[in-house]
Order: sequence, then C-alpha cells, then structure tokens
Amino acid sequence: MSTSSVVLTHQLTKRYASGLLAVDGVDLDVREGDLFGFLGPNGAGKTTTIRMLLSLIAPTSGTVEVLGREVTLHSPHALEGVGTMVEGPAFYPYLSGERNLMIFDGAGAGGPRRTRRQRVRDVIERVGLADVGDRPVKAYSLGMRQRLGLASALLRTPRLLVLDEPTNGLDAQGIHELRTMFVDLVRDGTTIMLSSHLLAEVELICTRAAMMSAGRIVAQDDVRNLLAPTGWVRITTPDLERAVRALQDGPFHYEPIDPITVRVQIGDRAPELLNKAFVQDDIRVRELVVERPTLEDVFLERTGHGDIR
Amino acid sequence: MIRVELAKLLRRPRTWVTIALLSGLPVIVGIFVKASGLAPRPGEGPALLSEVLNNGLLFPAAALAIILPLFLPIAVSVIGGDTVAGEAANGTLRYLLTRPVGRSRLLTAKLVTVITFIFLAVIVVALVALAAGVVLFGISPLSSISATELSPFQTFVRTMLAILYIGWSMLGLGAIALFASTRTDSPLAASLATLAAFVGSQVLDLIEATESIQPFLPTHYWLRFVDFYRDPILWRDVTAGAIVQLVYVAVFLGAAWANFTTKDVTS
Repeated sequence: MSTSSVVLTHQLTKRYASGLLAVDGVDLDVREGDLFGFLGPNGAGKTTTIRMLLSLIAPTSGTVEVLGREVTLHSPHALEGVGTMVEGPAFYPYLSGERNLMIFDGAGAGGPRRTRRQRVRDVIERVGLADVGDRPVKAYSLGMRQRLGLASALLRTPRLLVLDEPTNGLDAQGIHELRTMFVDLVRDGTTIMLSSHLLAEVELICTRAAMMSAGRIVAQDDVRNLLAPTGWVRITTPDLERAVRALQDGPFHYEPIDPITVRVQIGDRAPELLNKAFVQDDIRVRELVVERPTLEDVFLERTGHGDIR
Repeated sequence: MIRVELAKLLRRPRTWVTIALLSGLPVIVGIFVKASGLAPRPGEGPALLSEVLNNGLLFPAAALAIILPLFLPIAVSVIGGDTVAGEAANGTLRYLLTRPVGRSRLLTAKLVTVITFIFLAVIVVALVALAAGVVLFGISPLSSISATELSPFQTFVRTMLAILYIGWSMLGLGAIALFASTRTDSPLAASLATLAAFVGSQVLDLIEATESIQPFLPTHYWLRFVDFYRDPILWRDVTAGAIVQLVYVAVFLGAAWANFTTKDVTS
C-alpha cells in the first residue's frame, strides 16, 4: 500500500437505545493526503459516524482506527493529531475569541504554554479574524463563529481535519475562501475529511468521496472514478438529419434529443474519431461534449431513489 | 485541564455576581440590625445573630448562618448543575472531549471547580462579613455566646473551623449536582434536580415520622457548625456531619463517573 489510511473503520454500527439503526456496517477508508468528501442527505448517519470517529459516541459494534490507533470512549488519544468541527462551532460566549482558543488549546494535551498566545494569534490571523480576536464571541456573526471554529480546529497543526458541514452559514464569498483554504491545507500535507449534504460543493474540490444513505455506504472511491465518463457523447449540430443518417450506418447506439442535438453511445472509444467522421461527411459539429455524471447522478443511481436534499 | 476549568470559573461574570449576592445579603441584615438595635433573641432567627450587636467578630459566623439554609445551597445547585450540562447545552462539551480531554479528567476538573466555588464563596462571604462586622459593631475583647466566653484569637480559630465545616457540608450537594449534570444536556434541569434533592432532604428532616433516617440526610447536620463556638467544642455532631457528606460524595461521584465515562455525547 503506497498511502496509509488515516481513518479506517470496520463494520462500524450504531443502534441507538430507541432502536434506530443510524449507522449500519460502515467501512470507511480515508487515506493520507485525501480531501475526502463524506456525503449524503441529512439523516443518513454522517454525523453519528463522525461522532464515533471522534470517541463521542460508543459504537454498538465495529472498530474505529484514526491515525493508526484504535479509538474508543476510554482511549481518545489518537485524536491528539486531529482538528475537529462537528455540527457547528461552539464557544464560551462571555469570553473573547482569543481567550476561547486559549482555553481549547490548554484543554487536553495542549502544546507548550509558552507559545500558546503565538499559536492562537497565528490561527486567528489565518482565518481572517485578527481584528476582532479580542471581542467577546457573543458579538460575533455566524460567519465569524464559523471561522473561529475552523481556527480552533487548526490549533496544533493537525494531521487530520474532520469537518462536519463546515460551510454552513457562510456566504458565497466565505465558502469560496474556505474552499481555497482547504486546498492549501491539503497541499501542505493535511488530510481533510469533510462532510456535506451539498454534493456539488464537494465535487469541486474533493479527491475521494464516500456516499452514505440510510446508514450504509453506497459508494466510496476516487472522485475521478466516480465521475468517469458515461460512455455517451452529446453532439450539437445544425445538420442533425444528415448526422442521424450517418449514425444509422454506424455501429453506435444513439438517441436524438432535440432538433440540433443527438447523444451517441461510443463506450470507451475516442470521441475525436466520431468528430473526424462527421467532419469528413461535411457535417458541421458545433459542440461535442463527453458526458460525465455529477455526484448527484451517482448518488441517485446507487440509492435508486431521488430523495436528496 | 484543572487550570483551564478554574480559568473558566474565575473569568465568568456569573461566578462573581453570585458571590457578590451571597455576600451582600448578610451585610444588609447587619445594617438593619445595627440601625434598629434589634437583634433576634438567642435561639431565634439565624444562629449567632443575637450576639453580633456586642461583637463584630462573630458576624462572619452569623453571615454564614444567614446564607447556609437556602442561598448557599441554591448557588451550589446552579454552579454544580451547570458543570457538564452547561458545556453540553453550549456545544463546547464535544470540542473539549475531542481535543481530546479524557472523560475522567474532565469530570475531575469539574469537581475541583465546584469545590473551589464553594470555598471561594464561603471565604469571601466571611471576609466581607468580618469587615462589615468590625465597622458596624466593633470588636469586643471577649465573645460571649450563651454561657461561653471566647478570646478574639479563639473566635478566629472557631470561625475558621466553621468555614471549613460549612464548605465541607456543601460537598454532598455539589456531588449530587455534578451527577445530575452528567444525566442531562440541560443545566436548568440539573440545577432543579439538585434543588429538589435539597428541598426533599429539608422536608424529611422536619417531620417526626422520618426521625430514623434523619441522621443520614445530607442537610441534617448543616447548622451544627454552631457547636464550634461552644467551649469545649462539641465534636460529636460535626464529625457525624462530615462523615455523612463523605458518603454522599463517594456515592454520587461514583454514579457521575460511571455515567459520564460511558455515555454517548450527542450534544
């Protein structure tokens, strides 16, 4: 194995006292260097899974390994290399942003006290809150709290960031900044596991993804593979009639969609050959698009129903 | 972790507001006693208040007697009930636990903050009362309580013992509050549960039918701190009171620990 797993679960299962089977035999594998998208609709079991990874909830059965060490309620030590943001940030509202981070830095096996203030300043600057660090958190806007939450997760420069719905409450500008920051962090060697119910958002940046539905993993793969071409190309041409006639003589399955567009199933053959054939027949090709699924398409296909928010 | 928890306690405005209110009430009582010259007769009203007109040095003990039956237990219930449930309601519990802070360590730190609050409160109340007592009533070379006469130094020693005993007496309630606080994500519910335990104990302590269990109630020996002002000190009841507290602390800390170290944190 060339890359090691930073999160590895085996048949992770949680049945709540109410009888609800929230997580059902989940095998997650997040590898070093991944920007890992953990996807699924609200209520699919993402948060329960993440809470089990972070030793907040005891699994009914199955195991969790984080950064190569087993995590249980009684031995959360592996989490020392993990920065977290779970279900929104939370702070002591009567204290300043900076003081809040000092408290979180000092809790658990914190870094050296000597450099605490400097560490706190660094992360506050990194998330762009340097101007308001000394204001009490109760005066912060939702977006500022979200940034402070991220700053808190970045204390002690974690090897792994586990972020649950980190873009909640941010505006378009904030979401864009966050995305850029994630990409930078991964480039610097941090692994990020990021949950979201917004598939399109994850599609933009993630390198690997797992999809969850009703407590089970329905897909887990490199995003590149999940979004592999479907084998169909879509051709737009003002000469549709002649194009269809040409296709009738050819080996490919095809379906016209509208007066100027036709879909052709070319399988794994090169689309440029089709283009060349058309051009040689003097059929004008305005556009040739290789069809790829969106993550949403993949999700709907794997779950077999269309209920995603 | 203990240092962090203490910083949170001491930097929280509520802590100091609570202590200020606890200290203020006896001072108000003292001012009225002084202004009217009317102290309760011996055996009536808060313990020792009857004696302070003659001697300000006894005012700290009288002040503690004023807050002991109701206000101090309420404060302990509120602060103790907030320890874990307050973090849960606030959402910060999950961030402390994933730092990670071991659950036993967090509970220990919370226990230390409750104990710190209790002793901080009684000491501040006693100091404020001492200042107020000296200003309002002056110092008399001899404290006489009923038939007992104590020198200022003896009065000081006895008051220290009383402070220690009263703080100690709150530990049982503090442990109950900590336990309640691990059972719920609502600090209000935890505080009210603790208050219910306190009121229940007081009720059972009042009626004759429950006489057989009264020595085992957490509040039964609270007011026996006056025994420190006898000469010689009457140790029997205060010793029993101290032991009863230890039993409550052991039982409810054990329950809190068993509960907190195994529970799912979904807040």
